[in-house]
Amino acid sequence: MLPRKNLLALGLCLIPGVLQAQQEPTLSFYGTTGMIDMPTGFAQPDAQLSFATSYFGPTLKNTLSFQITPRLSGSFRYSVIEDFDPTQATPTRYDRSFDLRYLLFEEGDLRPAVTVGIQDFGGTNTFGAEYVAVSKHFTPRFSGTIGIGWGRFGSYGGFTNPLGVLDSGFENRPGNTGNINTTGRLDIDKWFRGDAAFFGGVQWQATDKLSFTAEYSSDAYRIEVQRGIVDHDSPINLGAAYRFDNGWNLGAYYLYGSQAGVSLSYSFNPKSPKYPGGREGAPDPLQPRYTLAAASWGNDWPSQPEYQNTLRTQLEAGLSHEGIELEAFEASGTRATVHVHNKRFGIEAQAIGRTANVMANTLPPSVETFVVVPVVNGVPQSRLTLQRRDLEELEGELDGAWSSYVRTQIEDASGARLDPLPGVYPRFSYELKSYMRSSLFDPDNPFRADVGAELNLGYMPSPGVVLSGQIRQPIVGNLDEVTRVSNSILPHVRSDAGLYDIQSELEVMHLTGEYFFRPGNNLYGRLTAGYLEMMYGGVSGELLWKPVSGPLALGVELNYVKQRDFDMLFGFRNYDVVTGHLSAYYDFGNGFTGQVDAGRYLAGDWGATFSLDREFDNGFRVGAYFTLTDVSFSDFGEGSFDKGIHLTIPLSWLSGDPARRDYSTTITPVTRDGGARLNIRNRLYEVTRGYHDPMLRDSWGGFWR
Amino acid sequence: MKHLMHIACVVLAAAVAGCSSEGESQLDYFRADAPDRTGRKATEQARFAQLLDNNAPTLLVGVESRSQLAGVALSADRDGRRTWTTPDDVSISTQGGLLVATRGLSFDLMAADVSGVAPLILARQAGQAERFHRYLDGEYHTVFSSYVCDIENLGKREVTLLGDRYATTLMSEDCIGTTDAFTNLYWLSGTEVVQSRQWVSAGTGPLQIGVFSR
Repeated sequence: MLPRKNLLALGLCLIPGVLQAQQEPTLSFYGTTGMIDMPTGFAQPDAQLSFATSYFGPTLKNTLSFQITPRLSGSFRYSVIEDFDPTQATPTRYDRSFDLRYLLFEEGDLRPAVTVGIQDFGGTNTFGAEYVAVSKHFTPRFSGTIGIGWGRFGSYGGFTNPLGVLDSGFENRPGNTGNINTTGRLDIDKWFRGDAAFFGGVQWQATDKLSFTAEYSSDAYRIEVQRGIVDHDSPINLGAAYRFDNGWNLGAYYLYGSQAGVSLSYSFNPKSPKYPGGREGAPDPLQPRYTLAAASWGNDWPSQPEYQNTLRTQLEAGLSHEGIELEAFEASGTRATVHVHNKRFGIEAQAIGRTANVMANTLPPSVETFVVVPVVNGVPQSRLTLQRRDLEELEGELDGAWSSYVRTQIEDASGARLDPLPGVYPRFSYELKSYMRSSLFDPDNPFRADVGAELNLGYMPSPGVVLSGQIRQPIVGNLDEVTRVSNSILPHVRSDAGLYDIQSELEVMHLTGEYFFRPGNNLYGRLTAGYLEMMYGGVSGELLWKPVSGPLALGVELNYVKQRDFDMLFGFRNYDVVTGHLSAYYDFGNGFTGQVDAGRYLAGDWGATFSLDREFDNGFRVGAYFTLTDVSFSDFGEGSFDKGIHLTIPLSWLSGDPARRDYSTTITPVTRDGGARLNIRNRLYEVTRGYHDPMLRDSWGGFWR
Repeated sequence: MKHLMHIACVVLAAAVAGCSSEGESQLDYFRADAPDRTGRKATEQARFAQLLDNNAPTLLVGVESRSQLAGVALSADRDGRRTWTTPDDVSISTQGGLLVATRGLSFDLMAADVSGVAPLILARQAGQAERFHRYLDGEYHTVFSSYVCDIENLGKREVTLLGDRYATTLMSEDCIGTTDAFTNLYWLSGTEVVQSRQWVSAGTGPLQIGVFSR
């Protein structure tokens, strides 16, 4: 038992999840922490995720923001400005861009919060600005902000750039040269250059829900005024906002002395699901060993087939009740081994705990050592060895979670070979459900979607062999209304996505045979053949080195693929290519994982992809990636290089009940042909890491649930 | 064409309702009254019925904040730790009548160390002692809370529970931690806690527990 003073020294964390609504700082029209048009110096709580949409004058802004670390925040924005380019074929400007903000100083008793930010890079630079904002609460309900801005925020009341004392080059800001094809590049040569101007504002939290804001804006809206789409009569903006209980926020404003504006946002934190720790039913309590039915069998039971059979049946039933399938079983006088397939729990440690529970309540008293081997796709993932005595001792212990983890041995399971029980294989599964697929950012229609029916079929004749297919039939939607044609000068490996939407009716999403195997210690292998994804079919092989504990994993993948016909049935087009990558995966701890993949992409280009994800131990994930290849920015076209944001929301996060399903989406500002990777299912790293450290350790709190 | 639309509607309806070999449908996760496709609930109810048939001791448990009331039956008694389960798979564990764990209530008390406060309460002695709780946060990380508790003997009380009269002593346990404070009440008859009001967590609040013999 942990000494009391050590417990107190651990720090008395807030009991989380519930209780008073936290008052996060307000969001501006740009969807980042701010007042109305101007930013403030505050930061959102760590990991806060928000969607904000705002509208005034000709401009609609939609922003997704994430507090990546307690100090660093990133945003992706999709803006629509009507009549911005009156001389162009499409007068409406559609812009995708990114922001970054960094909290230099946290607010203290006397010290204000100070944030530096770069707004709207990587797009058409329509809203390009940089700033330093300083904010302070004078009373808990009243705060003020002053700041200095460059770019757009240096246009009203601007003066010569004070940074000019460092280098006179700072005094001039290069203009927006280049066309749509040069968007996507980082406009570093503009940052903090040109005239600067002051801005400021005050905010008053009148009640817990209602707040008022007055701000002095340093944005002169020069271009918009010039083109007659915004009236700028005054630099003062006023507004009121109402915060609802469930994370929604609604605001109404009067801007620039001339027009009204409205904003709506939804903000939540992945660390706070609705039911922290879940709300599923209880595990069975541990019974005293000597009261179990199996206690009456005497010591001969290992050699008696009818006792072995009874044990197997009881274990099967007990595990099945917990949503776990028993694949193999072996027991001697003092040791029992089970191979289990977890069908229910999204938290792997919980599946291990429930398995151990069932074993403790079923096996004869002489069995002291439990060996649990979790199996995925018929392949053993790891071997966990627990002592029954430890389970009995730690069931009610205050420190039972950590203690049970350190007393569990976790090892590689490549040598774990047990014959599967009869009836486990062949395994057939099917699922009929509905689906929605969306396509974003086409200027002709920024949001298109199809809704329809999806049929999933799976057949596992033996461990490791998986035959599977997915067929979709769109029923209602407008994905096939796309008219834009790809202008890419590279092979159209991805940019003909619209043609796939138009020419397909029944869609064969994939139809594959996969073979998963363990070539050796810490090694995992995959072979896949068939229609691998929406646009490509062929063969794929992958080898992954991943020890059961340790932050690093390395992999290699090689594919030969041919592009599929636009009707998404069984034909192929003429284009074929060999692609492959070497990959390194690194778990930094604290929830951050990084990945680098280097190799050859679908268009034959060579390069590398860099990804960084923040993962929460409840399964929620937010990440971003970009790819640089030997395709030049101008050959790539609009967007300049491939990049995207990735979001995964586990079903159990939303509902509180355990589930192995999640909603995953990747938002890419542009879909073009450089840096395009094969979208194959079941890449090994994701499949394998659930039953390894550090993922097991990080969510081991679920062991006793 | 109409024939095709008809088929499409049926397909969509099936897809929305959903079905699978696992027995679960897409919508089930969000329905409070989801049908018991996996048979789990039926098994739990059968087990509860079996416990009652075997004359297991029972308690009545109420969750104050949700106005919920349920009967629980003793499902395990090991080394002084007793676990009681409802027909819908919610369980509480007690030690000497003091609550030491809950499961299935959401915002569950994962474990509690009451070895400081229990001797005083059960001996009807006033005094001060510490208690420790373990919870899980939104990321399945363990969170410890500690409380300093003032225990007082509030004197004799007569209590009637479902027609049975008990002569009891009422003990109160007034606890303060860094973020929460609560007061537990125990009505002791002999060595048994016949009635109590015990706090689970900030999210669930207190439970009211009372013995009842059928």
